[in-house]
Amino acid sequence: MNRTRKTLTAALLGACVFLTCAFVQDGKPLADGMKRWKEACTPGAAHKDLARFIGSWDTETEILGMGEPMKSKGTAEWTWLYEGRWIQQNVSGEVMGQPFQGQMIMGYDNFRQKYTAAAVDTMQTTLITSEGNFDQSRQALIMYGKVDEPMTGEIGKTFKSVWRFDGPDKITREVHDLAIGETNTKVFEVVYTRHK
Amino acid sequence: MTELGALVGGWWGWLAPLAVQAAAFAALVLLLDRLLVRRGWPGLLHALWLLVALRFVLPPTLAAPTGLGNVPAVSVFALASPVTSIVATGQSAAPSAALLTLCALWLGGAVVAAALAVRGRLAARAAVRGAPAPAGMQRTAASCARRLGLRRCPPLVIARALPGACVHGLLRPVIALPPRVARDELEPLLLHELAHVRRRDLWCDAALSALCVVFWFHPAAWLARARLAQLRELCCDEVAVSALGPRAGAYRATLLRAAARLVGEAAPQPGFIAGPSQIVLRLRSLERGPGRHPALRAATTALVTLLLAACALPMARAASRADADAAGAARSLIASALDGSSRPGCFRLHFAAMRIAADTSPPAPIP
Repeated sequence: MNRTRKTLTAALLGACVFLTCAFVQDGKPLADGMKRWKEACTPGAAHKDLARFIGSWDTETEILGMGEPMKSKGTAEWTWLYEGRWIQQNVSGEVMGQPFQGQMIMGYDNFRQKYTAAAVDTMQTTLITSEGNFDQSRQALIMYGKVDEPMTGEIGKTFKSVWRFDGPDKITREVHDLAIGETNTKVFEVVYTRHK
Repeated sequence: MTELGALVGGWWGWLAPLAVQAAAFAALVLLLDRLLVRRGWPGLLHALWLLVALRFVLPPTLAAPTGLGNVPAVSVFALASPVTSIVATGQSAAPSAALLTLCALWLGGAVVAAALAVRGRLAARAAVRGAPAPAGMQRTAASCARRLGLRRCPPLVIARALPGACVHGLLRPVIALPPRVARDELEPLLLHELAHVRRRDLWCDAALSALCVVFWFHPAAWLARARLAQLRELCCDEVAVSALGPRAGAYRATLLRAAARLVGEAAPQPGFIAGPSQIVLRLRSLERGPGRHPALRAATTALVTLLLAACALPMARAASRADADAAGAARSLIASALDGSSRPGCFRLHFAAMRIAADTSPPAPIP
């Protein structure tokens, strides 16, 4: 009788140990998944780099490629959005003699490990998206995107947008139309000067 | 809805800056009119007020390097006037309710104003109907017409219901005389009415009527019309007095008798019959006498009018040389892209299209 009881108790304990181990083994992927999910959702060091944009700026836009460069002035305001996950730009001014307003949202996608941006403005009905990363020096954010041209029917032409940080109070954005060719690709430049 | 939106947006984009510009210009001319009330002469003031009427029909985009629109303080009256963006949706697909209401109000007002103008014209036409004047009067009229350099003399009628002389009819003007015209009154009356024909005042008045129909809501349009009506009487008085020469005194007597006839008249005054109070103004103007140097006056009138037209009529900002160059470059860029001879790229084409759009249409207000 005692022997039988001991055998049963040992079997029961063994089952418990087995089940516990099995449960722990099953839970590890979930915890890992949750960890990865949390890492993807939580703003990190890459997001902190976006703080360089935050503030009020005067802008000077120069449009190139149509005779003399055409200059116009405006203002821009970069603010944080959603607990440091995104930054938002509100820009206004004049472009080619027309009043202009625009918005851009920029952030860092932890999962894809890329900076992403989406912009809308009063000049068009297209949402312009771009993505990219800082260069080695982390003084220039280089992003690529696609644009369409309804006049000629061209779709998805690649452009390069370079945000260059020339000190804490000056940012220069250059936009290159890569579909043009290899040279003379810069189509416009915006110089941001921080409000003092 | 898109077409209606574009139509209403275009209407507002045109009318609003035009109304603001015309008001500003009329204020300037009114100021000049008050300043020149003693030293000015009817011809000069008439020319200035004609410019006010002209401002209503010129496009609000009119620009010149000499224009006041280039002065930053004045550029408020330029194309993108603040008024444009108060209610406007501009080129948006659906016009705002406020803009639609305004458009409907304007249209309703214009219809009423047009109906009243047509009724006035018909009443005037009815009032000048009458029997042909005697041959003696016709001969005097023909002689007066020749003195004023008119190739054809309009027919004369005697209208029973008419309190004073007037001329009526655009294509075939008719001079209507009241039933009792004294012999010494006839020549001054005819010279005055023929002066209206020579100056094409009937066409001017018809154009001003049309202007007041379109801009029925605009006090400056009505003010310009009323002031021009006064001034052209003074101008015709000057012509008649000059043609009468040494018998100019008879003209004043004719005016006084006309005023006496008009006192107490309740009948409508068609065409160019002046009211009694206006005749007093005309007598005062005649008292000052004609200018000694008519050629100098004419030259001064032309110079002042030209100066004002060059400086104050163009109220939009003129394109600089760089702007003009950029517009030309934008056009050729698009043309070369469309014929396939170059590949300027999406951004440049987009900017080029914006540059051309800025020239050809008012900037779209930002909603």
